[in-house]
Amino acid sequence: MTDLTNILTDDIVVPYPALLDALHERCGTGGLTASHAGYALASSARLPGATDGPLCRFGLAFELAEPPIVPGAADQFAEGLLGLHRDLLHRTLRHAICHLEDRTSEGTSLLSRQLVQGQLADIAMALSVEDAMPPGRRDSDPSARWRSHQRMVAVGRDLLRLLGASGFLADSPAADLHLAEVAGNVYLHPGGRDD
Amino acid sequence: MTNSDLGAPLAGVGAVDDSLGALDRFCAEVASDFRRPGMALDRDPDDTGGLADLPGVAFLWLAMLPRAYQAAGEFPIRLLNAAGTIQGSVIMIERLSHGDPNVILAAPGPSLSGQVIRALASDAQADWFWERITRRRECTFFGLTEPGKGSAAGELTCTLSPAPGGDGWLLNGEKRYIGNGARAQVGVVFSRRAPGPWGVEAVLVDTGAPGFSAGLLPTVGLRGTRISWLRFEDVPIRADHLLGAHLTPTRRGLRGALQALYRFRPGIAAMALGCAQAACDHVGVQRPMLPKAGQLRMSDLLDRIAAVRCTMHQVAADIDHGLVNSHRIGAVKVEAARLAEEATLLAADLLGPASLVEDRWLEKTYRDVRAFELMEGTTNLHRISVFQGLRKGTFLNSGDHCVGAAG
Repeated sequence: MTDLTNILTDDIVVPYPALLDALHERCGTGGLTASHAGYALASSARLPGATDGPLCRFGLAFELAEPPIVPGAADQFAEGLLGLHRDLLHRTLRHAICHLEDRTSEGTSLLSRQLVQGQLADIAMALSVEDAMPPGRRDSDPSARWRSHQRMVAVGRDLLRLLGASGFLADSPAADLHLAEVAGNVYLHPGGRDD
Repeated sequence: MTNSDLGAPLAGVGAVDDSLGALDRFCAEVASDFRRPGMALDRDPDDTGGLADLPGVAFLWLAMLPRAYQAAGEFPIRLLNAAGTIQGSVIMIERLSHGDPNVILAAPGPSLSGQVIRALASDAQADWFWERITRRRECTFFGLTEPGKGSAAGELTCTLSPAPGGDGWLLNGEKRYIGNGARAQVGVVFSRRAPGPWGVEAVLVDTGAPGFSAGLLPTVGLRGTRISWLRFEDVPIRADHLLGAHLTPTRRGLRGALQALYRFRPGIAAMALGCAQAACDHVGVQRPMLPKAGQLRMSDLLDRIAAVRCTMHQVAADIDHGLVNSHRIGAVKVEAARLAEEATLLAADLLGPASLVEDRWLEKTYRDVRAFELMEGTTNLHRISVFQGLRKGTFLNSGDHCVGAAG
């Protein structure tokens, strides 16, 4: 089994699909954990025969699958997804700080600009709120998990805005953040199309 | 309610003259042709083979040309004249983007370079440019942004130095995030001839020239725009390809860049609004009966789309009348880009679990619309500009309101 805490380090950037594969392993259903909507997401390497689609460009694939019958497996997977998203945001925040420190405008680093500092502070505060969220409010039920996911999507979008055009490149953190958004849409949406 | 009836007046559009109304209806009719090639461009950004056959692309091509270069007879002249105004262009671009913005961006045409030509070129330079791109139906690029500098025009590091022998110039340096840069045949590049704001020049560059290299950058979405890197290593520039050489240094270079950007920026807002409206209409088609909470969220979003559309039309009409308020132009682009992101997020929410894997169009549009935030200046740059406008008293105007707006 892959230890997520070891592979999410500052120095080694593990792509989101590989982290998703590791999460599947950790949840131990013996295969891929599927969503209640009947889809399983994993890396393209893990699902080599999956339908070719735009997500494959980012290393992600999906297949139709039965939702897990092991008690608690879906909950454990959903909580793990939120953890991956949160870790990804922390990693992207560190990336953004380095990026903004290197970017210069009118002879000074962008990181020295008050507007940028204020935005980074807003993002850091929003992330700290997510870190501090009591488990009962963060991931105790599908509705709480969806709210957590949506808040983290907003934080991710704010981070990408700070990266300017580089935050739209497929070899930037934008790709992994897109996959985290898609994974949330597949696994964390409370379902029933709000009927 | 949504605007899923193609051709129905868009909420927020005030009273427009007959020609603009006819342009709106025409573009609404042909926009749906853009959906399939838009999906194809997402799979392969170079899949542009059939674009020229689309009536919307043929019209777009002619609408961006000066009247003297527009082939007669293909489309009514009053439609082309209407599309030649900034207000007409936002009507056209919003409707066509409702189909797919990738098609607009991948299609051949003068794009921003054409605006620079209009602002700076001598008659001979304009003739060279327009004759060349119309003869070969070429793609063009606008080379301003540089690695590590963004589009800060005053900080350009690309250099323009006299060629040995005194005939023409040599261009050196790099550009980044240039739409169509690696696929265009000709473009305008901004570079530094001397220190200071008046030392920046715009030059015409043939991508076949020795020393020119370029490649595509992999983007998350809006792949039809084919964002590229460019490198210039002693690229020879003809002496008569320095744009505006007949003008004083204070009236060329950066002035051309700014004029082009101000006139083009409402078009990016229009693209974003077209996508925002399309996402709302898509929800209306896929899920006609929303629960009450969903209806409220959708109605709130449509209200704000209508309001920004109204402002966009006012700003565009102002430009047509020679009034350029850069703060308000930037703010419209920012608001439209935000609405496009919000609309796709809402659509993915309202269309339920796994909508982003089951619904290919939504997943693509969800990625595409993120581009509008950074095209033509990031939100943060425009926020600073809005703040400056506030301080100068030129941003907010309590007298502004939409007169006779539909919806």
